[in-house]
Amino acid sequence: MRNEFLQFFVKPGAGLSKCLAKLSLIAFFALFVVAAHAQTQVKGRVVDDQGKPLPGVSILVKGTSTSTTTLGTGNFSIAVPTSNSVLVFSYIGFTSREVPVRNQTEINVTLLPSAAELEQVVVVGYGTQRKESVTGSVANISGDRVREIPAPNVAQAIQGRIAGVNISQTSTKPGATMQILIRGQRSLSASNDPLVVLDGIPFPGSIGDINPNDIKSLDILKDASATAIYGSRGANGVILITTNRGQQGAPAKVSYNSYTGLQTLFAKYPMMDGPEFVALRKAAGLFTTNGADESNDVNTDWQDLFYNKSAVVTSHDVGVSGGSTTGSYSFGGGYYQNQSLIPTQQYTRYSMKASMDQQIASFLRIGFTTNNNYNLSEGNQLGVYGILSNSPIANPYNADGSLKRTIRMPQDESWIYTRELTKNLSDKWLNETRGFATYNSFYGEVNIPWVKGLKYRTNLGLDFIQSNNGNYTGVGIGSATATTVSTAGVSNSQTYHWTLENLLTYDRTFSEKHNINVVALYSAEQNKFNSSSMSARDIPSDAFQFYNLGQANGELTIGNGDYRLSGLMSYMGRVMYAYDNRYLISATIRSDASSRLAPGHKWNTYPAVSVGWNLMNENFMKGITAIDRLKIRVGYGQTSNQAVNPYQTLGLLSSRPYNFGDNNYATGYYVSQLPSPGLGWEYSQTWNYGLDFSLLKSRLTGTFEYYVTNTKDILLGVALPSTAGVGSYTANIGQTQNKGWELSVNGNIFNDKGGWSWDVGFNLYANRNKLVALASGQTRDEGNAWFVGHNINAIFDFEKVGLWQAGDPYLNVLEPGGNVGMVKVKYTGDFDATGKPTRPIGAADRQIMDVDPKLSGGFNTRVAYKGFDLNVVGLFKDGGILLSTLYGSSGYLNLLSGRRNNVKVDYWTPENTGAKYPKPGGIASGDNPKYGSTLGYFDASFLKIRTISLGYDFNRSLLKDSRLKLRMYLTVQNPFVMFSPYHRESGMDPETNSYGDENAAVASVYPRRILTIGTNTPSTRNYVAGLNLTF
Amino acid sequence: MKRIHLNITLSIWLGMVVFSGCKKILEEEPRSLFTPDYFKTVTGVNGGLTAMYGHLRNMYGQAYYYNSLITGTDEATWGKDADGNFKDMDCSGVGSILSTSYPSSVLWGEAFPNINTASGVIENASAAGIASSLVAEARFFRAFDYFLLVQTFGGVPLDLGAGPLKFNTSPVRTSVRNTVPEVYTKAVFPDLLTAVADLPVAARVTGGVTKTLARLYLAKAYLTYGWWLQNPNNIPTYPAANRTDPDGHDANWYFQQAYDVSTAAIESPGSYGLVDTY
Repeated sequence: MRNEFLQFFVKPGAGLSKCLAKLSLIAFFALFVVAAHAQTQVKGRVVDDQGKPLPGVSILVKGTSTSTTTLGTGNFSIAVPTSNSVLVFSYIGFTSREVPVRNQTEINVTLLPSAAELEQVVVVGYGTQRKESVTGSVANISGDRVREIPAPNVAQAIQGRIAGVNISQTSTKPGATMQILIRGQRSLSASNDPLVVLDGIPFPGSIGDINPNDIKSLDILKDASATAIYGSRGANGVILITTNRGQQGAPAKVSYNSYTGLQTLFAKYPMMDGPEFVALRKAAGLFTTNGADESNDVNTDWQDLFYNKSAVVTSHDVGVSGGSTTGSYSFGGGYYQNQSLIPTQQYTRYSMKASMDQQIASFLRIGFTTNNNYNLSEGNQLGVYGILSNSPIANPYNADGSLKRTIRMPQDESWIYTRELTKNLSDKWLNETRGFATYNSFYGEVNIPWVKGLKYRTNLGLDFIQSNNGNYTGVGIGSATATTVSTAGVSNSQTYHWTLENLLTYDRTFSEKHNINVVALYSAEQNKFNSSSMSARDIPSDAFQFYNLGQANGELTIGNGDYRLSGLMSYMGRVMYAYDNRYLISATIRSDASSRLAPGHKWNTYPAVSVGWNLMNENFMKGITAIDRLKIRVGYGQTSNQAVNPYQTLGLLSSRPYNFGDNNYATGYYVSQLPSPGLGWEYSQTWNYGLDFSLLKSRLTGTFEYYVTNTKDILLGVALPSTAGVGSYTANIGQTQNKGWELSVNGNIFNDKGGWSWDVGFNLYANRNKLVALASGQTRDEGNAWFVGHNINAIFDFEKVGLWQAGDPYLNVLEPGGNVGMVKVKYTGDFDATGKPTRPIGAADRQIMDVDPKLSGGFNTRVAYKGFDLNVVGLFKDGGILLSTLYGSSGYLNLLSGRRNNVKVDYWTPENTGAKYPKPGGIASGDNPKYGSTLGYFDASFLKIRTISLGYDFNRSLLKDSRLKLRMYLTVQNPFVMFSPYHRESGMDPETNSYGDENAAVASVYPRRILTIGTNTPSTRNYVAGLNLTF
Repeated sequence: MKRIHLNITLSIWLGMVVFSGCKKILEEEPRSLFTPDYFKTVTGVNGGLTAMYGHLRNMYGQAYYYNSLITGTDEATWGKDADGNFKDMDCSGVGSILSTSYPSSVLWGEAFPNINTASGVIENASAAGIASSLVAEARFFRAFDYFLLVQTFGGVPLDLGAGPLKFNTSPVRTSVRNTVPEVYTKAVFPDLLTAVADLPVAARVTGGVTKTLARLYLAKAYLTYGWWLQNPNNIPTYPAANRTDPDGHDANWYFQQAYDVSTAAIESPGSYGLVDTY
């Protein structure tokens, strides 16, 4: 075997000195030596502090790979090589013990439950750390808590559960992922998404590809002193996801987790019914003659005709894990399907996960993890705008009871679709995206024998993601014209990603007081993405769908292909030192070189340092019994985000068509973007101050943090004079700041008092986001709604102060051509001596309105009695602006003209002057009432109970002392919403359901980054029954 | 089993190490978009030239600009309801020619991007050894745009950011105007002289530029500049500049040059010559 490797190294062109990676390879193999030894037998029994036998305790002969586990009776037997051997007894939830064998042949051991808080280990990236020693801002949530909420992905499961991590819904379609913002947004044009690291390897995929059932724990690095180890990708925070692995020496364990739920409509979109619409049309007086299919005595509820009555969500997961004396394994498969209230719309995911660890010699361990999934999203072409805007007084049926193809309203003819029609058309009207992703990592770990505490590890990550979309719309579908030709399209994308990491870790305690942990890393990583698309018109046969575009009779369009290859090469070093568990310090330095930056600008270095002080370990605090733990932390670090896209520094040519003579067509290329070698990342500097406490024998624990993050060199488009040759360029110019505090508290109110236990936890956080500087001292960028001193997410619009009432002065001055009952907006101009405004209301009166909430948070409580437990999880938000395009002007559903159906609103009439909404048929701006956009802004506050779950643990009665463990539960998701002005008015779920540029009739009004409520799939309330079974 | 597993793991890993190469991952090579490096190839240079022909449409196909070429002559003048679109270019001096208002802004907006593209082609193509006849087309268009600019606005910047007549790689938000004689003697004349020398006699494409066309514009530029040196009507110039030629010639020298160049063109017209009825 060795010879093969030697041959490899002398291969011409391999370039031995080229890579550190190869040097490390030599180190790896130099240690590849196997040893052998002789043995004696020791037996005994392991019990807990109450004398009960402990099955499954892992017993290891220290310094060897020999190990075993206790049986159901707590008994064990193990071969030890010498009488000097030491046995290590370890069991989850108990403090490990080391027992020297000496000359004993029988050893009985009592294991004591560990004080969980003290022993808890958190993943900090490139290693783990005891929670007590952590000096950065790291939040941890276990897999079990993730699974308390039956959710398709991790982001949904942890929404509202971690202070400082704001997770917002961006779509209500099945399988949709969420927007995750850790401590606010800092970038104006680049991504604010955190870096996700799956089992140690930076994760290039969608978080929806990770099955929540596979998760062991989730650790979130929030401040720069913690994220600096990820350098140029650390600025948006880092989410470290660790998946389940088998346990060495543990017997095979089979687990089955399953739930099935019924999803019902949370609330219909609040549209007018027939009589309400007739009244509106009369009040507006604009469409006095009904359309050909309309009649005042008809009352059609188009939503009823369209939505499924209920939809099913199902999840099944099977897993087997266990271990031998020298290795462990874990395999699992999952199936998840989420149907939608919209017919034919659904998301299905099949996932497969496996991991294996194997001790090859006492100092050498290898292993791998593979996470795979295939997912299918169907029916995402279906929107509800058509349904909502259909006239409720239009009759969908012909006299013979058959469904009409279209309905004619006074001004519009609309194609109609119902639940049955959509299902019947599923072969002619479809859109499906099939994703396949495989994330794999391999590692080898060597305990370097002649240096105690020194470990070398190499990780290799190999990932592949594929997405394939196909869509087909048959003749006349979706169109008022029956002969509209069919269209079909196909698009594909692939991502290839590899990571190679070499890590040296030195972890040792000297003189029992000096605990030192040093990590050195070299890593290289490359990501390749490419995509292609094509579309065609007039497909000759419906049966073809999108499978043979080549036969199309109409126009064929080949989309622009996309190709992006980027690489990252890094060195990182970290030292963590603790003196006597009292004084803690962690210092990191990382250097990243990226292909995306121009030569000479590729390398950047990120320093970070944090310190902590465990006060309770000081002698002078010993007398205080009420406090168990008190730690003060301060950290500072610098990180950046990868704001520059591949090839962005190289300049760009755009195309311009031309013809030389009648038949010689040519494409010209001109310079549209200048090369800008100086372009770099956006740098965030964070100061973080933290306080961790644990009071009353750990019954009250919590963390308080305060942070300030300043981000500079933000990429901004800068206008250039025409004489530069291009109109604008991107430069590192802007500055933003995020400043905030976070509090999370967990309390145990009763602990098994008369059979009752009650735990309560909540988190509360506030983030103040503001723009500090734009380009060249500019303070306003009205086009992008960016204003210095305000949120990145700001709305620049008129501010509604009420409605104009009869007798209000100066209507004709402020609103020439206006009418009583129209929207009254704030006037900021001057008044003359008589108090008369000097000018009409105009663009100068627009106000800057901050969108971000004042305060956000979440809570959970668990009450247990005997085998029963009741869990409630909720989240809340206070302040900020909720943008609903249903009510605003961009949705075209609040026209107040009677042209098409309208959101049900309380509108002004001479008899109803106290209304919130303006007089129908009043002064308009385009198709909407003047200042109609101001009708879409709501107070974003809400409190939402996300789940109420009642479970029963059968091991407390039926299955006592059985190896079989069974828990069953019933959960209600989204049961109710409180304190939400929007919910009060509309009855709707107050959570956003769209990006700013989606699901509105005019999608270009708001920037994508501002989330809105638009015409997406309706929200659901779910009733779920599930079980967890292990044996 | 163990051994096999180990082998697979390691061989994949080794594969990565061997084939990745460490420095290589930091290099960029775009495959789905064009960068100015494309002008180092013949097809790229042809594409760049096509865009230069195309930019003429953005000016002469632009209704207001096109119209100003008529109303600004002695064939027509502004009427009762005329606005700046008609007045600005009118010989009667009732409007003002600004870089920020129609119709002159059309030229201002189109010329510099084209000049920059031309500079990109000239630099990259020359470095890559592309035929000088092709590069000469880019030189012709750069001179053509500078000639239009200098006639319309007076002196204009020759340095777009990276140095005089250089392809701009360093965006700057300020620019400095060169004087009229600088624009003629550093940009217009040298480019046109090279174009005359290197352009083919017969056009490469339908409507393509030729030696004769370059001579026509060179003669026109000599005449215009000679007249500027004489300045018989005492028209002010911007930015202020002495009416002396940096190359030490006088107006008559330029008129003579114009005559010589025109005569050469008339004698060997190539693709385009004077019409018979002239």
